[in-house]
Amino acid sequence: MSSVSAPQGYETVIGLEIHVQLETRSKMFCGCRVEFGAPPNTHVCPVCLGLPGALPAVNEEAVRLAVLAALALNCKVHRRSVFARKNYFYPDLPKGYQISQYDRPLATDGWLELPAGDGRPACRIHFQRLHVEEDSGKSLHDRFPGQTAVDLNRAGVPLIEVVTAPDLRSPAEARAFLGRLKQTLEYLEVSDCNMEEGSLRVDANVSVRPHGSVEFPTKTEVKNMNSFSQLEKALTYEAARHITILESGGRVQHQTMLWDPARGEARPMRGKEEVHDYRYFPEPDLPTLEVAEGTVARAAEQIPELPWEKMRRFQADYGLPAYDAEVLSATRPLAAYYEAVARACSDPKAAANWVMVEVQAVANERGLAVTDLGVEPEQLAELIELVGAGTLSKLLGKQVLRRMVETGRSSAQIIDEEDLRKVSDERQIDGWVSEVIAEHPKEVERYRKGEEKLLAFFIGQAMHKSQGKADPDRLREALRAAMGRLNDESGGSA
Amino acid sequence: METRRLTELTIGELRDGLRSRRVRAADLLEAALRAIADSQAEGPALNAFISLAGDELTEQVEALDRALDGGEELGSLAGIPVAIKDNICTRGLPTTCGSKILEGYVSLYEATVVRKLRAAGALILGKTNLDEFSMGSSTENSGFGPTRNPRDRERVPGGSSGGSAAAVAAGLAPIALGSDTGGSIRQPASFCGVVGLKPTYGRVSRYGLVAFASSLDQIGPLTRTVEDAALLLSVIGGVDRFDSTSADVPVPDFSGQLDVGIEGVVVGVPREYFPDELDHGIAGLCRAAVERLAGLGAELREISLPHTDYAIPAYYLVANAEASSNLARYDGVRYGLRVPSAASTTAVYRESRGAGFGAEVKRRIMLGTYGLSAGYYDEYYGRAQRVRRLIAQDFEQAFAQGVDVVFTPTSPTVAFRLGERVDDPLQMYLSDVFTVTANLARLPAISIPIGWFEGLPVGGQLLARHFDELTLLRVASALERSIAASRPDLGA
Amino acid sequence: MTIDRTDLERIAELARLQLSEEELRKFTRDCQAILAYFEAIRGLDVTDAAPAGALENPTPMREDSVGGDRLERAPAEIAPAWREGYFVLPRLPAMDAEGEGAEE
Repeated sequence: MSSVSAPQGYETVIGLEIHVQLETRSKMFCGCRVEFGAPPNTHVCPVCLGLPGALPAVNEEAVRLAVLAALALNCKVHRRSVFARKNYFYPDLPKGYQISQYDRPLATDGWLELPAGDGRPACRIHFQRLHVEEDSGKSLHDRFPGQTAVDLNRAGVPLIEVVTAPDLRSPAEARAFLGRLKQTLEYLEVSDCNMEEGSLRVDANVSVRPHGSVEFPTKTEVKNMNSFSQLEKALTYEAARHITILESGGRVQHQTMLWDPARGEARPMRGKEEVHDYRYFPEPDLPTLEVAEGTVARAAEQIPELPWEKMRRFQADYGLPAYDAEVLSATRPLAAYYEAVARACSDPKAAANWVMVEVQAVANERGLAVTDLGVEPEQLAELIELVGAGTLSKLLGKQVLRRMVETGRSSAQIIDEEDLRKVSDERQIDGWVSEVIAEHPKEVERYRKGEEKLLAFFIGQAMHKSQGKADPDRLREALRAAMGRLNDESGGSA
Repeated sequence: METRRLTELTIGELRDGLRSRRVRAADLLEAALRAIADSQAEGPALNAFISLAGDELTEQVEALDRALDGGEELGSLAGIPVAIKDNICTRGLPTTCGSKILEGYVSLYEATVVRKLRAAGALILGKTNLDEFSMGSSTENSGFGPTRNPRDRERVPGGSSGGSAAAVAAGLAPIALGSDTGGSIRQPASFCGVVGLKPTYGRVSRYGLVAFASSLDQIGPLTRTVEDAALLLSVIGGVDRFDSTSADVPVPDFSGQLDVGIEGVVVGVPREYFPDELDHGIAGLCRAAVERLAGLGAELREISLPHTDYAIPAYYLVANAEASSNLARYDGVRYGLRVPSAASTTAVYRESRGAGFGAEVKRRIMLGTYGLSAGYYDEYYGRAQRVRRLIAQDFEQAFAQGVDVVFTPTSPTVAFRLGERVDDPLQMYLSDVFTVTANLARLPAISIPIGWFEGLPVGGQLLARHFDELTLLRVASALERSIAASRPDLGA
Repeated sequence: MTIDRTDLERIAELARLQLSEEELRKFTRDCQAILAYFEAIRGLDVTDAAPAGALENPTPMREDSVGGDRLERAPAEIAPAWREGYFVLPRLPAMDAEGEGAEE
């Protein structure tokens, strides 16, 4: 199935509901540690176990992070908002209700620009609301046969829920938008947005309508998409299902679909869990959530330079092409790393190349992020300077980089200790050239008969003998000269 | 003093006795335990307690006596046994809420008020009976049998804090804690002839009080005197970081400031609380009490609280809605009763809740769920919260016009007979008609004994401004002393 | 507005309460009587009264630090069923179709 969203003249209409775990030390309403992967039910207390008589107390940092996100997403932050109980039964919901927000959320009416792509102009995707709430625990259905196992370490972890307007028009667009949103939230450092660990979760509302229609037909909700590609696949699947139903004269039923990544299909959620009546009402255990003007003002000051701003500045300040600027501003740590390198060396473009190509390659081999390789930006800058000044060949430079990663030492130390400085000395180079010529009489003969491309072979052999240290330009000259002398000699003797 | 048991003394008397070593903490504890045993042995059992502390107190008491022998200054409640309503979490003793769904449940933490009591040196004597999850006005809705009224064992002690009221009235404990959502401290205090104080919402931390209706619940003392209630309030009151609805308002030494007289205090008497059909005996005692206040220098003023008629529906709609949500956690997953035969998740919920909750609790969960459900919220819960605002505004207006305290009967009747109302929930709800408004408006209110009618005690209720417990207690104390001076028999 | 047995059954399901036939009958009658009494508030004009819901004073906030109230004993001690660190219960019926069948 292609990702084209509108076969047979249909248009797909998508809205997303995104849950993001906030990066706090403690939970939303109690002092339990937030930690992924801890032994089950070890980060629990009277509050998050929902013990009789326990009461919630709001985590200030969670509110600060939510305000930060709301401002960066251009939302209107409400000075006063109200916590509400969302009532439903589920084994991992300890109190039988989730403390969330309902008719008076923290923030409303925002937008985020989705840059142009796939032949579509840049556009604004709107947010209806952003609110704070607590996460549920985890129900494990495959831990023990026939039983549901409940772990409440995650119960009470702070979340924001962000709801978009139905502004997205294709699965690909939804995917691109989610990427943009994730990148923005990562920049804000409000969440690690790790989809695999569930700190970023997305549900989608999908409907299809004939092109040109402005109505919103019956939508379905799709859940359980745990990666960007699964999101796109699930939405494509679901839109196609709607079209099939409509084409056959049927009507789409409003229901919740569970995406099965293994089978590549979405199935309706079964049973009575489907019938929702959440009976929201204001949480009587928590007075009004008030965000002081000062809190909003301070949060506004704390908003960092966002990716699209950084990209523009990289182009302007360092003369980078748009592509490079985009790649290097992908994450905040990468951008900071690049910028530190660029500032420490005289050639920001070379710095961009090194970071994007050479350093990235070494990082990829090791499955690490560039910033986790242990190469300080200043050390990398030094190396780039050495190559730029001709002290090291590019090839040697790469080798030194690897040694830097392996040993954690600086380029200067490595060059000194491992005697890697580029050799330009005439006698040394002539020595390697003579050896190569002596060892490969056949190739020399062929070269002399006009196979000039063999020069590269001789350079390679000589470079090998020099352990890569020979100055490649000098080596080439020396080889040409030596071959010329051979020709002269043979010519002379004939 | 000689004719009274140790447990019938006031805190002040006990404190003096303990300090002067005329009373030993061990003797006091023994007297309490003996009185409790006697209350079970004679006639139909009183059944005030669900569980009792035993040997674990012996060590504590011995240490206390040693310290007192050594002349150490101890906390304000050192050595005083306190009975705790069984919906307040305690370590060591179960916290059942009078429900089979929590039978044998021992909390993994302790309520803030209990920690404060312990810090003041109090002994946690035992846990008292109540209507299941505080839902009731007679303590007949307990999963562990009804409590009886010590004044007449064929009658109910009121509820839901009936066990605490009965324990204090019968001299089983000098003081007790109860909780009050719509009158659950004041009405049993009235029925049993003791003092019951519901503090301002937010005055006392609810952390560790098992929630019935979170926006109405408040912990408070049941005592034999106003002074004891004042003293206990100073111990348990104050802001608590574990209860976001607790108020950061200073807690004065109430008991030391009661004797200033009530000259010029304006007492409002709302006509809506004295309907024509009010029992003439109760109306007469109230009139007499009001006249006493006037005799003590208070200015009387007839007032109107026009939305009083709507209080019962508003109260029950709000309380039941919150209760339906608060009681969702009893699902058989993490603690409490689980029906062993339940074979699926849904069956665990439905069967455990079906088997664990009693009829009144189920009825209220049903009503509360209905009032919040799609299509009914605005007409029931939403509307009730607006009516609640109107009721609060009635009081605000009276206070704004200079009224300092409001006087009303606590209950429209004296203690009724066991079984008389169990089959008529609506009739039972109407016994709260004078008490629910204080909870709806979050005001402090106290019930004190004002006389006897047909051989049963009658309580009068005073209400005051938010956090003005001092005025409330001063007026109550003045009235109490005036009554005691003229009618020494009322002290019994 | 009145309530009938069908409503009661729906509400009992929402509240996850198993009710006996007798309870259903009695509760239907009781709830009808109680709701009829509650009708009184529907005659009252409440348009100018804001709902008295959550407290209007700002909620206090706690610093984001690990700590707070602790459990005095392990949750295993109060759990109706506990296995290798987890609360356990019979599986959701919706999952049973794919599961290995209920144990016990």
